[in-house]
Amino acid sequence: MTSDTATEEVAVARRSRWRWMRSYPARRVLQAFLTLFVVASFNFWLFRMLPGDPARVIAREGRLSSDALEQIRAAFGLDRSVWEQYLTYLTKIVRFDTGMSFKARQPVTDLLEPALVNTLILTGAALTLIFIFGLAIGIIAGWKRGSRTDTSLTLTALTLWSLPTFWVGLMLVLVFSISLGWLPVAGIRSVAAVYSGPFAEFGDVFEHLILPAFTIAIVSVGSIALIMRNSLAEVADEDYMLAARARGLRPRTILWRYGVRNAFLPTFTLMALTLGLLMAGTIQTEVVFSWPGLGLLMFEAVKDRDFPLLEAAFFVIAVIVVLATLAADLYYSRLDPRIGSS
Amino acid sequence: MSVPAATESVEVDSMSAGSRIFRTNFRELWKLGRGKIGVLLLLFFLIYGVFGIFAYENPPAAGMTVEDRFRRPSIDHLLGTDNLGRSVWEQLAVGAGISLAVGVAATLIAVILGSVVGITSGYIGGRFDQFMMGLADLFITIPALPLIIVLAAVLSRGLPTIIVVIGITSWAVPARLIRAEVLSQRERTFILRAKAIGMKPMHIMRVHIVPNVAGIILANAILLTAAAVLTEAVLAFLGLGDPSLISWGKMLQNAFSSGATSLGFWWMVIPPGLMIALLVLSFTLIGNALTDVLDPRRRAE
Repeated sequence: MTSDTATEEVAVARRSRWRWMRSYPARRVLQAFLTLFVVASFNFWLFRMLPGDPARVIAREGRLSSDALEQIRAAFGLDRSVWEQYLTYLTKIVRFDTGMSFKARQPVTDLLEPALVNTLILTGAALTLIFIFGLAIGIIAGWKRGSRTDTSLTLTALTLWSLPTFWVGLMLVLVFSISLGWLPVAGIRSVAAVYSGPFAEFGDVFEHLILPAFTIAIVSVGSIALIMRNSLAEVADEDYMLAARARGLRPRTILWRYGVRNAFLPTFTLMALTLGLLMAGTIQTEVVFSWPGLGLLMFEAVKDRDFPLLEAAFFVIAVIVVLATLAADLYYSRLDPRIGSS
Repeated sequence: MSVPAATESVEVDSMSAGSRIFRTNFRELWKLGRGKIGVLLLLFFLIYGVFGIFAYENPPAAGMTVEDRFRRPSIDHLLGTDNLGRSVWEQLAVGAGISLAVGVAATLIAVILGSVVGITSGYIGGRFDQFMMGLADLFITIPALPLIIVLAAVLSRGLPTIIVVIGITSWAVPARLIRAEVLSQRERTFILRAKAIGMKPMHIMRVHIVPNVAGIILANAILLTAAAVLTEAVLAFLGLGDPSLISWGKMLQNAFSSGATSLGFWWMVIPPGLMIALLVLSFTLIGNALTDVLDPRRRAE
């Protein structure tokens, strides 16, 4: 009996010590890592399920002596059991060692690093555009409800969302690069450019960035504006808005201090949810503009059947999306304590 | 003897009620400008798709001479020719059927999977529900397009692969929506009453739950079709489609990889993209309008 209560006490103590594990942030972080673990495992098993001898796939050569095949098997650890290989794979992933590229014959990480930077530059520029234009249009439409900006917003947003991103890119090239000759067709820098200084280089990259960034932004700017508009319209019916008006505050003050501030939170969460969609737009845009990022890397890996590179690029994109969504969720849960309390 | 008769009459009632609900919803949909444009656009594409299947061969014949390539629009070729001398007009008509077929088939897979998971998960609850919803969240978090690209790159090229890959990566959102709807229905009086008189769970699901969630499933399915058509176009553009078939995405890939874009050959670039955009828009408009019609809060306004 006494030993029973003792173990129970220990259990209670242990439970309270691990209580933080039940908190929302802890659960959310755990979920993010579980997602990445599943993506890594998926990559491993998909590669295992490829038709044909993996050693031959790696060698990219049908005719090989059995000695050579044995060598490849030993070099890539294919002679060990599948589970052993799986474990090695996972430990390597944690150390960001993603193997060798079939095509380039160099570590995949060397290819991924510059690509990751370029993708983040492009996505960051696109997000900035979406933020500025989306929120501005949404605020105008939400504040002047029933105005022409407002009534045409739903249709505009749905139309923009329906455009294939890669086609928007092709059209922008057709108009602004080919017909008007204002902006470069593709790439991140001019061919064989020699820069007089960092400002000249920045200017060149900036010029190459304009069309791709707008391509991504055009497709999603309408949806973000619509979300902002709707949440502003919802906030407008709240009692504190009525109270603010009754107190005789200036309309501008009511809009910014009471309206936009409160409407921004739901908009922010919904924006975080569209990050995956944003990456989809980035991949297409990078292919159209030969922007040397992760999407272009994936595209070329598909063409070359370079599976380690393909999987690694997919994994890095998944890491970006999962971590960014996690950050947005945690930030939001701090601002709104109701999140995760249930 | 009287009990089975009573259940039967309930079924008949719910069916006629179902068609009545459908009719009023459609009338409401038609009243919305968005809904009307969407329905008319979709109708056009259905006719155009059938016309394309019967009028032209797939793939359209290539031109015989070098001069046939990259021809500007003229009386002979209404929208000019592509890098192989094939008529853009003919390809456009053939592509409509492919886009529609892939969109609808992929959505069917996603909706069936999503409905089965959503309804059983919401009805059974407990551990099973927790596990399935965890799985759904996983699918929602993982960026879809990169996942689809990896799958399509590894599996064999072809239309079935694309349909299945898009289908099995889009079930999570409908599953979550349907589960939420089932949860809200589960505790309603008529369900509890049906349980009390000893109706079997499968029967309750079929007679009471499915008709009540049908609207939301349909609205979501239409939006999913829009996304599926877009994804198919992207895959074809990236060279992951069926190499032997002509689709709008494939036409744009031809334009891009043959250098037609850089040469300013607009007739190869504008028509296929416009078609994709309009077809997707028709589904988006209907789906969006239907969601509004089904939302009781908005209807009250």
